[in-house]
Formats: sequence, structure tokens, C-alpha cells
Amino acid sequence: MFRKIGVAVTVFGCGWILMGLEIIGGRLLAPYFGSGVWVWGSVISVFLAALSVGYFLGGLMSQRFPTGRALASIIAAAAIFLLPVALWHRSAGEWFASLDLHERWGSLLAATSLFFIPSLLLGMVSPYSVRLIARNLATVGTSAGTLYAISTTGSFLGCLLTAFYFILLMGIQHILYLSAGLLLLLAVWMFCVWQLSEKKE
Amino acid sequence: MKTILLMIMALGVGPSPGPGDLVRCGAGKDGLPEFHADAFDDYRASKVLLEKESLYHYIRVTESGGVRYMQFRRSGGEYEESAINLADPLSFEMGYYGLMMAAFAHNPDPNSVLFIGLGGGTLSMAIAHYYPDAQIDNIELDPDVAAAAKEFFGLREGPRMKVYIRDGRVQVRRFVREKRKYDIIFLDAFRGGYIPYHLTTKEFIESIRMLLSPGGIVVNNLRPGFESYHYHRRTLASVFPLQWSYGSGSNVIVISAMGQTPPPKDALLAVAERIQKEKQFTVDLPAMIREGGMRDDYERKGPILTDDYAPTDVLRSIPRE
Repeated sequence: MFRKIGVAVTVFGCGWILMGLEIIGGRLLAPYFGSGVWVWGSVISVFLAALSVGYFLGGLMSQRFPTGRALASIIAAAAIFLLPVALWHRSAGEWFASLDLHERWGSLLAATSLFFIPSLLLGMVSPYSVRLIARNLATVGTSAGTLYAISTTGSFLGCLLTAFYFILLMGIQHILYLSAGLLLLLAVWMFCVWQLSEKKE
Repeated sequence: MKTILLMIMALGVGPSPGPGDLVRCGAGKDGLPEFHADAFDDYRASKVLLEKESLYHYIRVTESGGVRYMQFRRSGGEYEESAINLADPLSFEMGYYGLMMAAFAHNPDPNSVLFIGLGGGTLSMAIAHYYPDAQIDNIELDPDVAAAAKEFFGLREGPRMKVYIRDGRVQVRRFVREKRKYDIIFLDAFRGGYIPYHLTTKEFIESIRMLLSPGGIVVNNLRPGFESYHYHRRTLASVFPLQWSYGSGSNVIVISAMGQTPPPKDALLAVAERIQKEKQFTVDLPAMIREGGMRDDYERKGPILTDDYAPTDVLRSIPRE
């Protein structure tokens, strides 16, 4: 039970941050590529592509390293890959804009280079957590369903609250640093939960 | 205190967005857009020439009493973006067009003019009429708006009248790279009652400054009824040392320039009188210059808008008396 709650908190937090980043993405690219449909289309597409790859790789990896320590390192990696985004998104945006591509391709390229790897890593979290929770074949559907529901609820809140309030109250720079910091905390949390629950068994 | 207010507004507890430039189908007494409860009765009296959902807007072009209007629909309201009197295109149907002419007291003989936000192109065409030798460039995001301007508002492209279909910020970046210079830059990009946030920030205003020729001016159309107005003014002031404002209705026109010492009002007035005599504007330019000027009409202390922090969506819904 302890492990289940620990993993649930992790997927909730990762889901939250993932969608918060997606909302930030559109806002962050607007100074370079405008705020039209192309920018939003690019950002959403890049996140979806990254998630597809992330789900697949997360599933594979969970088979080979079925531990919470491995999941914690994936989340820590996401936090680390978010740092360059927070530090250099302005210069990256300027550079991509200077390529003078059509806004479609410029924004797609910029969104890919900024967000593909962090969102891929966050995509690995859900299938991984299913592997960590699942005990037997009979209940694996319930475990998977519950975790996806929790993760998507996190995404829903992250999306809504970032769009409605956070951008307006603290600006995008703070949200980026905060997301990286929270991911690092979640990694530590996942690590501790795993160590403790392993000891219990 | 400001932050708390913002937070309350963000939570949606405060007063609902003011009607602002929600409009009906005919110009008000002063030509300024205002809200009429019987909006839909008025629509019946008018002819709808175009209704189109474009990539960015729901565009309507209507005609009533010999005047054509371009409107964008947002949140259930129609926002008037442009109007033209078919019989007399130079008599401005929208009050703020007339106010924008104040630019010519500050820069009476421009060789190059840039519009960001085309709308019906009425003002662009009027300026082309008064200054046939000037190069007039227009940036418009929405291809369907430009098409409607050509079909219904008499916009004609030519070697001296160009329309660039692109996001304002993106096109300005290109112009900066091409080292283009303009004597007057009009910032009038609205999307159904508000300015898209990436066209309000200090970073954007700085790129606009880079497009100015020596002695060039920037003309902003702002709406003083809202908290956002003070943020816009402060942001402009953070880039441009000199600011004048004209008008006091629902639109205020702000003219910004570089330089240390502003020209004395008498000098501006003399220019206004000369150019009025020469061009025979349909508005009374000297009267406008006499009434406006370097007024103390915004809160100078407070935050500005930047690419990182631009809560324009909240600010434009906070009414100010």
C-alpha cells in the first residue's frame, strides 16, 4: 500500500509538470514564431511524439530494470534536461528564428529541441509505474487503469492551473525553474519510497 | 497589494470584463465604439457582406447607412476592427483613426510608414492618399482579413503599398534583420478587443525601436479604461524617453519617440497648422495637438510587460475609472 501511494504521488506530479510544460511551450515560442495555430500545433505534436517514444521505451526499460531507483533516475534525468531549457530558451528561440524558416517548421524545430527529451523522459514514467505496482496478471488492468487516471488527473490540473493562473502570477521563467525543482524532489521521493518499501518486504 | 488584486482577478472573482469596444453596427456620436444592448436589432438593419471563420478570427463585414464595418467576434461579442464611409473614405468613421493622424504633427513628411495590424486598411489607404510618395508597409497576421480589406474596403496593393501576411513579431524580426527603417510605425494589432501579448512586451517594443529612422515615431492605439493601459504606457516609457498622448475617450493614441528634449508645444502646433493647410485633413489636427500633449495620464510606478511576465489576459479585464 505504501509503495502504491508513493508511486501514485509520483505519476500525479509528473503528469502535472508535463502538461504545465506544454502550456509554457506555446507561450515561450510566441516571441519568435507568433502565437498562431502553428505554434500550438508544433508544441502539442512534439509532446505527443515524445510521449509515444517515452511510453515504448519506458515499458521496455521497466522489464529490464524493474526498480523504483531506475524510475527515480529517469525523473531526475528529466529535471536535468529541463535546466538547459530554463537557462537558454531565449537564445535558442533567437537562433531558430534567425534560420528564417516558415513559422511552421521553425516552431516545430524549436519545440522539438527544447521539449522532446524532457517530455520523452516523463512519458516513461507511466508504464514504468505500472510495472512497479503490478503484482499479478489478474489485477494488472486495474493497476494500469488507476495509474493512468491519476497521471492524467495530474495533467489536467497542471494544464488548467498553469494556463489560468501560474503564467499570469509568476511568469514563465519561474515556472520552468519550479518544474525542474519539483521533478528533482519527485525523484528523491520515488527513491526513498522504493528503498523503504523494499526494506519492509 | 497589486499582486493580491491580480490574484483575485485571476481567480475570476472580480468584476467581469467590461464591454469595452464591444460594438453594435454603427458608429457612436463621437465615432468611438461603445456597447449597445440592442446590438442584434441593429444587425437586422444592416447587410452582412461576409461572414467567415478564418484561422484566427470569426470575421464579419457588414454595411449599414453607407458605412462598412469589419468585426471580429469573441466571447459572444462583436469587436469593431475597422470601418469605412463608402462615399467619403477620408472622413474617418472610427474616432481613433482621426486621433492617429496626430502622428503627422510630430512627423509631417514621412517617407516610410509601417502598420502592424491592417484591419480594413482604411488608415493605410488614407495615408497613401495624403502622402502618395511614401512607402507604406502593412503587417497582417490573418490572410482572410487582408482579403476582406481588398474586397470590401478598397485596399489596393502596389509598389508603394505592401501587405506582409505574417505574425507581427515575426515580420518585425525580419525587418530588423534587413535593417529597414520607418519614419512612423503604427501599432494597431488587435484580436477582438485585445492586443496579443507578444506584441506588448518590452522586448517587442525594443525591436520596434530598432526599425525607427532618426526622428521616427511610434504610434500606439490603447484603451485607457483598463488596468492593462498603465502597463502598456510604462512598457513604452521603459524604451522611449518621450511620450505624448491624444484623445480621452475609449481610445487614447500614444506617440513615442527617442531623444532628450521634446519639441515645444508651439513648434508642434505650428507644424500641425502648416500640414493641415497643406493636406486638408478631414480631422482638425491643430485642435487635437492643442488638447493633447505630454500629459500625466497614467500611473508611472509599477511593473512593465516582458516576454517572461505579461499577464495581459488578466489586466485587460480589470476596469479602471
